[in-house]
Amino acid sequence: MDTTDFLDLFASEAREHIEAQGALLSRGLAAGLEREEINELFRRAHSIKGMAAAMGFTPMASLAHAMEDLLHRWRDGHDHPAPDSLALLTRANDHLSAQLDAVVAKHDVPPGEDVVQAIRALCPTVETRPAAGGASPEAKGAPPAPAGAVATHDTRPRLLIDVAIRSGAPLPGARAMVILKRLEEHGRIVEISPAVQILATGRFNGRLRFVVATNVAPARLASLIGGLPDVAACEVAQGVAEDDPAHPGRRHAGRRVLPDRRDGAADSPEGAPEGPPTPAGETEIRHAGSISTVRVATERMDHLLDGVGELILDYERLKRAVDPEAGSEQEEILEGLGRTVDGLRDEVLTMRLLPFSSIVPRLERSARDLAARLGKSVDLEVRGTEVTLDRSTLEEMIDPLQHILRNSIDHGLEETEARRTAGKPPRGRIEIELSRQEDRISLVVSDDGRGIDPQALRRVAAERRFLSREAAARLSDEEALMLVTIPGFSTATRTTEISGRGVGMDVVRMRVQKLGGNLVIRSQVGVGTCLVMDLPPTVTVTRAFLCRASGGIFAVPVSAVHGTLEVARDRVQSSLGERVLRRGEDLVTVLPLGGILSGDTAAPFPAAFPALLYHVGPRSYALGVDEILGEALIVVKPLRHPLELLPQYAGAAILNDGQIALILDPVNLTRTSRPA
Amino acid sequence: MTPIRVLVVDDAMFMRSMIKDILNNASGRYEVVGEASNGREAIARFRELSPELVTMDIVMPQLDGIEATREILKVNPAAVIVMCSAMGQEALVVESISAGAKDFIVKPFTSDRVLQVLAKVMPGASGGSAAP
Repeated sequence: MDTTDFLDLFASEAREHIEAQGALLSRGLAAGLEREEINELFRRAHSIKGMAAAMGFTPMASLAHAMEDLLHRWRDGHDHPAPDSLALLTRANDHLSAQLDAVVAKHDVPPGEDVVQAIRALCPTVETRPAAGGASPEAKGAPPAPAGAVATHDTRPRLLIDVAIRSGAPLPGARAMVILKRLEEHGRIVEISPAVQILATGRFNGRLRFVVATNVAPARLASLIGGLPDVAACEVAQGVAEDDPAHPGRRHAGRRVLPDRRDGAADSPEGAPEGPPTPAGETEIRHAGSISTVRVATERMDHLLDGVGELILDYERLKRAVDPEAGSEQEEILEGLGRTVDGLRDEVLTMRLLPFSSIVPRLERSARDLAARLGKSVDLEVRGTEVTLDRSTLEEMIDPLQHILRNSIDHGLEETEARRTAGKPPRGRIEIELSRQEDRISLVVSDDGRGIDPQALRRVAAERRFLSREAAARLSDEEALMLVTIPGFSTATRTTEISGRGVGMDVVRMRVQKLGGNLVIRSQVGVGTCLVMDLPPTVTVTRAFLCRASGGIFAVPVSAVHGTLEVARDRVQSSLGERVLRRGEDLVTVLPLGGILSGDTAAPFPAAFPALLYHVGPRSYALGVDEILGEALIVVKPLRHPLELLPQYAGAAILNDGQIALILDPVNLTRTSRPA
Repeated sequence: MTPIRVLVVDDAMFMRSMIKDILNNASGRYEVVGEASNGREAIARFRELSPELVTMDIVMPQLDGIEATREILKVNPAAVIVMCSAMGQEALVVESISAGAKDFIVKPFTSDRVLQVLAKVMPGASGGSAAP
């Protein structure tokens, strides 16, 4: 077997096991382990060992093997998990994780013999069998799962089930969920289309496809599902190839078609036993509504999204090119196409969603490592782990979050003594909370450390000539706190009295903004610091205003814009070197986009021009352009080096006519354009 | 045939009366043995009466129908619970079903519809062909 083909699969499976083990172990350290949790740990260690051995990663296999043996002792009641041994297993698990990282990066794998020895020392009676290095299968009931055979050791026949829900039926999504649960009672769902998350959105179109591994006869399942209320038809076909990609909605002619009513099945009432239920030892059914997952390489998902993006663009172009009359056949076709495209986009975006919990173990590990290294006691609480985000957003946020944690632990949280003196609990506390607010994700990281003093930041900004003394004094507290996100600022202040946040906050802010998000810092001296980030849950397809300036076309995400306005030159006044417009109670700073781009911000305005209104913190800005062309759905493409270094651009989009528009990030544009 | 013992849960007395009326007119197939007007009460009455079937409103004071469903299933994993929902609560119904409710009916409901759904969820009543 050429194992390299399986590396991705191995890595993702193993990662999942390692992270689940990490979560169980940290729970165990806090509250002790239940019997079932020990069982789960044992099963996972066993799986890792089997997979690693099959891949020929001997150091991983022997480490997982040692863990398994210790867990085996606990499971059989020979020993009880003492905090020391739990800590050791945690260390072993972290080491496994490092080994996996090395394997993926094709680096040398750290051996970890010392950890293996330390674990072995805890299980003296276990004869040290040769580590499962070769392909020799274990003599322990379950054969080690060959890497790549994620779901294949369920040998039950697979049935392809197509269900149509009666059109006009109330709550079709809920009906689909009933069908799903009913099928789960009779087999293991290998695949479902559309994604289960669609069911609750009200956009489900009434057609479902499942692949189910089951011993139940096809006719029986067809009558079971066909007999449910509001099911218009149910087709069950046998023998689906495992890699058969789902084509939702495609009909399979010549298969069993069951109408709403049927007879029979009375001889075997629902709930009758059909062979053994999935044994508890098999853990292929995963969380998220206990639907099994299909693994797809992430780059294929990216290609799919790209493809859908192009499709959307083509659709918008077609719509414009055709310009159908109301009621025509063309209009009807276009409308149908639009719905399909929308549905497809939603499906692809939903498919990319992952729960925040998938990165939590990594964050916990970093926090634990760092706290241990610095000799601080830290409690990390994470809430909202079930909230989902686009996979790439999630991945991109790991670094910044680790950075933030590092800052909190290193600089924010005081030493135990200092905390006592300040009347705080001795253990430092960091909370990460993720929540969904309409179409934004709010991510808040707060600590109860010493906080940041905005006055000190103003002083340093002036001393180090980041700002003039006057400009520094004019900053609100909120604006002053944002100083730490200026590149170079934090390094300059590292050794000064500024405490709370250290290096790299510029990187954090850039990353958040690149993802289409925003970062606000709140802090109170002596009480703590709180970073509030808001992020879009999905990325890459966004609505934007298209506008023309200096002969080019620019896109500004609708989410960043509060409105549009027409600016008359004679209403613009000068104030403190800025050109401002009074709008009701508000003073709006007018920034000419053309002027910013050409570097001539003082160029005279035309008599009247349109502008996009947006806010940065408490201040309002009007970005003057030559023309606002309208609103459009754009596919965001990241900028490649070196353009990505320009913070005022969030990406690029290819427009319907093939032109390229740079996507502006108004917040950064403002920063780079305002004279300090 | 012994009637199926039903617990009716809804915070509106009107809705409870309506469901009771439908069940009482189903040729003796059902017997309403208890009522509850919120989730907490539903759990208590479930423990006390061990009904074979529960009709459960979703949005209720104190404890909603989804939580009550979860709790009742902890008491008896085989409990048969049917959610009663208004239109536009699809996400809540989906959540209830994934929490373990067997099926759902949508308000405003007709007698036929209620009886059709209930007939399907009772174990052993899979035929649903009991003469009306």
